[in-house]
Amino acid sequence: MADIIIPVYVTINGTPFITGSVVVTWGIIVFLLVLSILTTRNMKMVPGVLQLFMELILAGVHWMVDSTMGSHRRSFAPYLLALALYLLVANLTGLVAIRQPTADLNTTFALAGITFFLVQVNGFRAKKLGYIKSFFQPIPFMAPMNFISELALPISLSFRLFGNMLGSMIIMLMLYSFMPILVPIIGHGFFDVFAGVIQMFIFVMLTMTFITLAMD
Amino acid sequence: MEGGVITIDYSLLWQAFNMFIIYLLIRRYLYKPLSNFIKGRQETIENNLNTAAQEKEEAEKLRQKYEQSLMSAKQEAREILNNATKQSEEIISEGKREAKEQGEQIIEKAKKELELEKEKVFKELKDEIAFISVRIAERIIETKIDAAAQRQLVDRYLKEVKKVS
Amino acid sequence: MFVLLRFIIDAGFDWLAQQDPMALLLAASALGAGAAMIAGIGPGVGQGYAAGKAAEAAGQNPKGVQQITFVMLLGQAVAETAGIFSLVVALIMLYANPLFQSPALGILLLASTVGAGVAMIGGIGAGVGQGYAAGKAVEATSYRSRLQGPIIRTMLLGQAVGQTTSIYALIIALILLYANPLL
Repeated sequence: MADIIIPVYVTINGTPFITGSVVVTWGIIVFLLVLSILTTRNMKMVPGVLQLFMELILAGVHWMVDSTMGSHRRSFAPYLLALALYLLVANLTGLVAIRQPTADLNTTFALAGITFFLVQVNGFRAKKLGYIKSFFQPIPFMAPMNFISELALPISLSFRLFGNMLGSMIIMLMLYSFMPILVPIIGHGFFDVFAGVIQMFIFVMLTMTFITLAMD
Repeated sequence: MEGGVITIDYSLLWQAFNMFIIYLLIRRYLYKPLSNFIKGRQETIENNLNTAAQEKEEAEKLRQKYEQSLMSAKQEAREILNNATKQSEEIISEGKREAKEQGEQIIEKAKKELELEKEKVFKELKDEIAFISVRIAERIIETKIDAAAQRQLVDRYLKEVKKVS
Repeated sequence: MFVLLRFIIDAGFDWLAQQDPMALLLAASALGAGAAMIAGIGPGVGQGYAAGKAAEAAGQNPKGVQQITFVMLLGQAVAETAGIFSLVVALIMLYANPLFQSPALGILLLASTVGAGVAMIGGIGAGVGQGYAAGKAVEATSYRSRLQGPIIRTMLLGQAVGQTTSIYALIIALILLYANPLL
């Protein structure tokens, strides 16, 4: 059963460097690679099941990007697709008794950090100096507040995802130790599947929204 | 050494790097091929629809053309038929006329021959009647009449017969 | 009067000082974890408001039920965040309280732990506010379901700003637990 403590495999000067979450993420990379190659190997005009499923996911991502960011910003779709797929698989590893990599603050911080990086860079690229000026709006006195609320985004993103996944994991552990037979199935359905999918949605949508807001 | 539940350590860097790797892989192996394929398929379908619409138009035009030529062919056939009927009628009426003419000619000829025959018969009859009348006159009169007086009598009686005939 | 009070306080502190410091710390952790979860009030109210608005919207505009549901779920999941932060702090205190390793004064550790838990009660406000935003966004979606995109964007932006105080609470709690300047 998944452990609460994250197993550590390699350390540098005593601080963990490669942990169980990293290894699971490597496994997810391999899984996604295999999935991608299987999907794009023999693409037919009338798609088979796997191709159809991936086409639906791609269409969903395109729809989300179009409605939230505008169809001229489709260039973000590859990263958002990668993010969505990784989050989906990572959140659902709880179903197979693997400790979710997203239940590790490092993972969620890394993802939130990438989002933060994307927001700032794109805001700067779109508005150049105007972006830096926008921090001093409406009054220069507000600058620290604006900085902090910019930081609030990655903090809330990472802790939201982390908290949801950690909470789900602990609840599932307790359910398994109390009533190991039927109730965990409902628990898995609600906490792992439902919460996992919704948290993936929220993460991706917030990323998109804030990138758009920074660029407009 | 055991990690913690809520810790931040160097694995953060690893996870960021992993995410970057996932981004590259997905973009190269899933996003690009799949979206290109979908776009290509959409274009093919659009092309097919366009060609189908075009071909339908052309088929329609062709059909109209054929129908027109069919109608004109029928018209021509009808005209030919009319001409043929007219010609045959003309031939028939011409034939009839000729036949009629010929018949009339034959009838005329027959009539003329009949006349000629009638004349001939009359002439012979006249001669016979003259001869017989003279003999009768001879007998009645029982006189010898000289030839001249005979001839006068005959001519007189011929004229009478001529008047009668 | 005051002499009595002082006597009680002194007796109380004496009794506390006699206890095993570890036991006290564990007790304080338990107290802090429980206090932190009081913040569950906020998201409860907020999400309920969003759900109610969604039901009203579905009744008004049955054709846009899909968009309405989507906006509702999105808004509710964000309103959940304050409760999740409290859950994180409570779990930290139950499973991996870093103050246990700290070689410091007993009462201070107690107070820090309880303080960290009590700080998360501030999440109530964020929960209620974000839930209200979600409810109003749902109502707007029911009127113009084609404007789903801008509505969601504005809702998320507003909710992110409203999250700020609960983030401050979270930061204070984490500071008390991990980087306590008073120790």
